[in-house]
Amino acid sequence: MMKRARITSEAGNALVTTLIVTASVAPLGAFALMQARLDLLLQHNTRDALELFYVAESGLEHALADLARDPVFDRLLAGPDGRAGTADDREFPFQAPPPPVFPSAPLRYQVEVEPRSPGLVDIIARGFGNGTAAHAVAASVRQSAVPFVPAAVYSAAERVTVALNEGIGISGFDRSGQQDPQPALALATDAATDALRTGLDPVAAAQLRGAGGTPSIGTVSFPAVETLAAAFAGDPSARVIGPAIEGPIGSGATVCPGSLEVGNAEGDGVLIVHGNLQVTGQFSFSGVLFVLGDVIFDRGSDVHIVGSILQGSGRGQLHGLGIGTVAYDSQVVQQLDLQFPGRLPRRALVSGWRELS
Amino acid sequence: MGNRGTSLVELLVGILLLGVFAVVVHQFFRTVLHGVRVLEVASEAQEAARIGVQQMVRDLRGAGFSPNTPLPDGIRLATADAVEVQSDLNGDGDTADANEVVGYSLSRSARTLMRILGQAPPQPMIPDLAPDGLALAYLDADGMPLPMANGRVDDGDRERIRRIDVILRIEIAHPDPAYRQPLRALETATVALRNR
Repeated sequence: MMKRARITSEAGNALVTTLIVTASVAPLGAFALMQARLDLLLQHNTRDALELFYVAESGLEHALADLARDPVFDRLLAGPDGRAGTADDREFPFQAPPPPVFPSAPLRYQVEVEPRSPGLVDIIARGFGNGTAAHAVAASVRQSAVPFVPAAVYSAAERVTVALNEGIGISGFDRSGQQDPQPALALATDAATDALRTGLDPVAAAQLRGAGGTPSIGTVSFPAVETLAAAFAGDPSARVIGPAIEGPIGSGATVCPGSLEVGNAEGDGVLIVHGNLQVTGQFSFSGVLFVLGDVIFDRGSDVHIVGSILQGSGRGQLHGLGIGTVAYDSQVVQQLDLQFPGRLPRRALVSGWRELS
Repeated sequence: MGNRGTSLVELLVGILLLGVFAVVVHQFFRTVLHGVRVLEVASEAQEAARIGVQQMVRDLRGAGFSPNTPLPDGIRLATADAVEVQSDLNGDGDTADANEVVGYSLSRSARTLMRILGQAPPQPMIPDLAPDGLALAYLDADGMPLPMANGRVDDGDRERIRRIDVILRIEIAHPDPAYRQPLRALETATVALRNR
């Protein structure tokens, strides 16, 4: 007789049940985890790319804002140390160094200048994040065809005092009508501009007309007036005059080694005065006046200056007590540039934007 | 009793209960997996829409680039479902080089977003577009939509385009044939043209 088989113990039933349930659930869990991880990776990549794009854009905007304040093309190629031919030539010459991280670690940007062709550079901003992730955008910047003079009157002095009576006007509106209005008066720093605005009397303020309304005062970064003046003064054709002048000054470059008192006189070209310029009579001049001291138009003077006055950093008085006008004229500046090629700075103009990676 | 073990009846009842449990588990997982599949397809659709719009934004944003001065005709074609832009990337004065012409269009027959690169024929980029899967609107400097005559912005008005509104709609058939409604994804963007 066959013996009936019996399972004689329940031991292990719980284990078998647990294994069955686990085997059923585990693949589902693994699939869900894998899917979630994949989604997370995609989200991270998308977010990182967007984040780095905006970081790179911030770097570019920083550089372009800097450039708007200091629109001189030549400085772009010389790097932060201002000297061409050194190791930092490809670094963008920020006026204030960029933050080490932006907006927070590990994000940061780096801006470089890449020469593209003569008179044309690319400003390339790269945003960096974790690891090797990077994104780059670029703006092409070209040298303007025409020379750049920032205003009817530019002063590099830290402290500028302006006294103008009702009979004299300073105009930043381009007399030849070829360019947009410039400031009537441009200063080198925001501090100088703020100080002048605070202390400027209403009569003088009303005489400053040009870009930005009245009083037309702007802050512009511009190469050292002394350096520009020296470049003109070094021209072989430059003529030296004494401390006082009457009659025709002539054309071309005229240099006065000290202060200059001008009676009834007229001229054009470049007049470089290493000291103060004091006008006492009827003075007509077409061109650029470099004055490294104070500018004083006495009572009784009748001044007609077309072009621009560039004042050095040493002294900052601009007193117009007579009558007349100082008017910005881009055509006069261009004619001077033709006469003395390469001595006036060029403006940097942004001509294109593109995404590199 | 005691340690007599499991009888055949007990074993059969156990197997029956396990069978019932397996059916319940199967139904549960089937529902969950179905949900996962739906989510997966919806996620794929959304991802495809996002990738498509991102690529379009990137290509359109730099329209008209030229290192010397922006091209006045940076936008060559502007219609409600197609756009073509050009740039002079290497500054050689023409737009005939690689990647200098980029375009997007909706192929209604293939329900596909097509990408045009240079002189090459259009290539499929994103499939499963809705019948009105690509919608483009062109705005001027004041944010006002530019009129379209015969479905396109006039040649004279193209220079006035400053922004482009992009809408990409994707429709993918529901993974469960019982559902007739497709799964939809929508992605939109406004592109500010940087060289205008």
